[in-house]
Amino acid sequence: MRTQSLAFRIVVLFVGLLAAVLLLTFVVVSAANLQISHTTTAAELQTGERVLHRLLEQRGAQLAQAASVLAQDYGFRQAVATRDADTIVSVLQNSGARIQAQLLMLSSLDNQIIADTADAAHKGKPYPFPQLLNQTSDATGKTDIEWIGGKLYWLVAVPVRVPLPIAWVTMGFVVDDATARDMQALSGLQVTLLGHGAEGYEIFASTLPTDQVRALPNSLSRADMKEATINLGGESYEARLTRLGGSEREPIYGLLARARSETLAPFYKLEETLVILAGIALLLCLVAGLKIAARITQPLRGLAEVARRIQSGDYRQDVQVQDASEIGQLAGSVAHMQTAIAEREAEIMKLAYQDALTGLPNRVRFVRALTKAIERARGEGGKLTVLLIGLDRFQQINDTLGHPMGDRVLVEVGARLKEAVRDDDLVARQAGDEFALLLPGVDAADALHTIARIHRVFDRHFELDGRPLDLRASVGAAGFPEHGDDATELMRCVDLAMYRAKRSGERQALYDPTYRTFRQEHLSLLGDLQRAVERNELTVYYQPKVSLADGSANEAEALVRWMHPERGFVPPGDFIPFAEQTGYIKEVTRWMLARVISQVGAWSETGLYLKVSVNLSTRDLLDPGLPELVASLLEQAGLAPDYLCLEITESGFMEEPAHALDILRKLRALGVSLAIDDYGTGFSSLAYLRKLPITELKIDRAFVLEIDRNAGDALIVRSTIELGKRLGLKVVAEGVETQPIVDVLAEMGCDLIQGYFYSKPLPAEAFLQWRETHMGAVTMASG
Amino acid sequence: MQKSCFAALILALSGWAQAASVEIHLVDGAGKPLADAAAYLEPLGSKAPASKATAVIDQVDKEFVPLVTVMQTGTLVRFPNRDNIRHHVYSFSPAKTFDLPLYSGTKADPVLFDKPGQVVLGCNIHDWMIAYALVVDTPWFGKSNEQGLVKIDDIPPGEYTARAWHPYQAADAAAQTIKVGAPAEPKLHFQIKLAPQPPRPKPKSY
Repeated sequence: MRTQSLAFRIVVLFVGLLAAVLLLTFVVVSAANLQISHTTTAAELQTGERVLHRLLEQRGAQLAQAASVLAQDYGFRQAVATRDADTIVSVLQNSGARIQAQLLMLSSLDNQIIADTADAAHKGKPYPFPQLLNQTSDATGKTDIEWIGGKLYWLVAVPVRVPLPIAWVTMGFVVDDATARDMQALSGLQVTLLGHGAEGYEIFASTLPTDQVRALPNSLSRADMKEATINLGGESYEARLTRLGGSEREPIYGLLARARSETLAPFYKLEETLVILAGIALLLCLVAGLKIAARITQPLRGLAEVARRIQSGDYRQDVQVQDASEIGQLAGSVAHMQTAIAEREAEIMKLAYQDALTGLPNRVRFVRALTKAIERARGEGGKLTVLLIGLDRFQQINDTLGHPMGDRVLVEVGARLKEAVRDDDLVARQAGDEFALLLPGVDAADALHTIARIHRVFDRHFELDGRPLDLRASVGAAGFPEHGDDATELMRCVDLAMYRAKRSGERQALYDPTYRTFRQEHLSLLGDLQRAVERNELTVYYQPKVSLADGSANEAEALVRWMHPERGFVPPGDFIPFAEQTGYIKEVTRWMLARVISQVGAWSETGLYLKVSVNLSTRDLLDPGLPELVASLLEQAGLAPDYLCLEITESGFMEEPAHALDILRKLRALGVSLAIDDYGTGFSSLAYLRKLPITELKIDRAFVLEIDRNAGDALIVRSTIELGKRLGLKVVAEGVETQPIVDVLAEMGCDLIQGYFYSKPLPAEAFLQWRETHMGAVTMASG
Repeated sequence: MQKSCFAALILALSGWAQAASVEIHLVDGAGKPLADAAAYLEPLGSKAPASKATAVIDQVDKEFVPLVTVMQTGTLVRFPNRDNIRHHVYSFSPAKTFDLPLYSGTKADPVLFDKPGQVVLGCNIHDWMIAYALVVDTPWFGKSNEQGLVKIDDIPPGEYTARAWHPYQAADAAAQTIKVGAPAEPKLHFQIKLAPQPPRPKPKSY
């Protein structure tokens, strides 16, 4: 039991309290006992003293009676009266034998021995106990204790009357140990009879053990002693000394004593009983304390253990609720807490690791699973493949049918994917319209089968409220260990692969290390590009669009050029696609719009009215703030919207048609011209184009480059121009590099021509100079 | 007493012409009149006539009555028992040793007190019973009354030794010599110092 434990404290409190009470009781009882024993002993000694005196008085009275009987005997009196010595002695001897007196003496009134049974020679000698007779000449006789020849006598003297006193009869009894024992029997005390003479105390009789008797005289040094505690041979006595008789000079005492051990014996017995009882009580208390403590602490320990296991994540414990006590309530609370924590943790786990919409594992859980799978594969020398599935043009569904529909599609896709893969494979929703698949034990080559199955998933229509919906997906694949060593690396690879699949239109791509270098270079460019915008490292180049009608060059396309401080000239193809991916293209576009509108505005103020077109990216078409920006820029520059044209690509439009259409309409409403760039490379139909508020059509250079030699291309271009014309669109041809091409296009009725044949893109100043020259030449030619 | 008076009368008649009386005053050591004291006259040079007198010492209510008796040598004393219990009268005095074993009534024989001297009488049964008798060799004696006065009559003229006695006396009083027959009647005065009276252990009731 630890000292801090509740049980220990409870037991210590219980036992300590009881021990204190018991100790106090013991001390009080012991003190009282000692006091009582002392008082009792003192009282007993006093009583003993009275008993002793009374006993002696009675004994004396008996002796006196016996002596009186002798003294009144007529024959004896006659003998005494007649001084018949022989008769006197014989009567004395006879009487002495009758009452067992050891001393018998007849003395005259003038204290001379008349007869002594002890020795006839004593006749005529002085009577040895004159003080006995002197006190009074009492007719009934006098008793006293006297001390003669080392012996103690209990004496009685009675007068012999005829009828006047004529002599004294003295009878004496030896006081010895037997007498003392009689006294002890009556008083219950140790009795010692002793005298104090010239040589100190002399002991005559005692009930004490012999060795203690020997020690007694030394213990009685105090002359004024009445009551005292004396020590005899190691035994302590409470004693009382009382005068019994004798002369003043040689007094005789009775010593009453009671051994302390004897007095205290019952108290010691009581204390012993108390100690035993205390021991039993403490033991019982200890047991009871432990029991009570256990009753309190055992459930608490149990609950503490439960709490510890809850802490470590075990929520399935059986919490015993035994009763309605506070501990029971606590147990109930713990049980409820366990349930609540379990539920909450499950909820949290769900939120943390599960995709709320589809119920599939989320990205975090997928990455974890992937990490584990990689570790396992690494340990076993195995392999695995990760697939990333991106839904094509999913945004369109969201935009046209609404997010609820989009969500239903995602749920359905998730369900179908789960069905399509093995049980061991993990399907997770990665983000937005991307799903990830983990194929343990499958290498990239084998993954092709799975990829095929995934594509087949999308062969079936998705039914949304009875409407059929076609959906396609692009799948990227990356494998461990060949493509990446950890989850992060693999996810990056598979991301690049999926992106490639999407871009290439092949809908599936296995990761290739070259993607990485490409991507990495662009990644580093991202920071540089941001800096370039801020530091004006970007420059606008203008490429003229020449009118085939009159050879004028009043229109141009503005193109961004980047002079990197370290890398030098960075081709647009190296950073524009990347800027589009990252969304940074919006910054570039805004920069271009601001710079171009400002430039064109400045030219118009000098009377030079040029129409310049700026390229918009897919991202720009999703920027709702774009129309407002354009409007404010035009207003700032004081430029009429007629002089601005915005070029968009088919693909850019098709990504988010609804949004794009909305923005295009707003831009068109501003009065700004809109052109379709790179026309012919996408899949859009002319019929679809009709719905767009565009004013120009730019035929992709791919069709123009060999127009003079390739009849197919020429046919496409011719029909496109014709169609454009009929739709009321201005038609522009790009990539014009030779005179024959110019001629063909002129013959086809193309409106404007743009290409190296006239000029490569030029900085503003150079562009103006070129135009000056060109216009001069045109004027001269026409003039 | 009546007998002795009678004897004294005879004596007086025989020597009528010369006969005389003597008054004797007795006091104790403190000068107070002393009762129950004896006074007697012994003739000088001549022998007094013998006595044929008798005396009675009664035993009444476990006491001797009277306490003190004075008598002439040769007096017969009777000890009638007037109690309804028996007594055992004795004396160990040298002047007269006797005992009258248990008796009752007047059955006991008279005892002749034939020697002069003091006799202490006791009862062997009742220790406190005590009587004193003084036996003198002269017919001229008397016992003092409450006034401490003894009057002795019919004393022939002549010279006499006068003596006094009391049972409790500490010592004998000094004898005095008087002359009877002179014109003036002689008056004698005795002072007797008393010893402490010994206790008489009589219980209040038995």
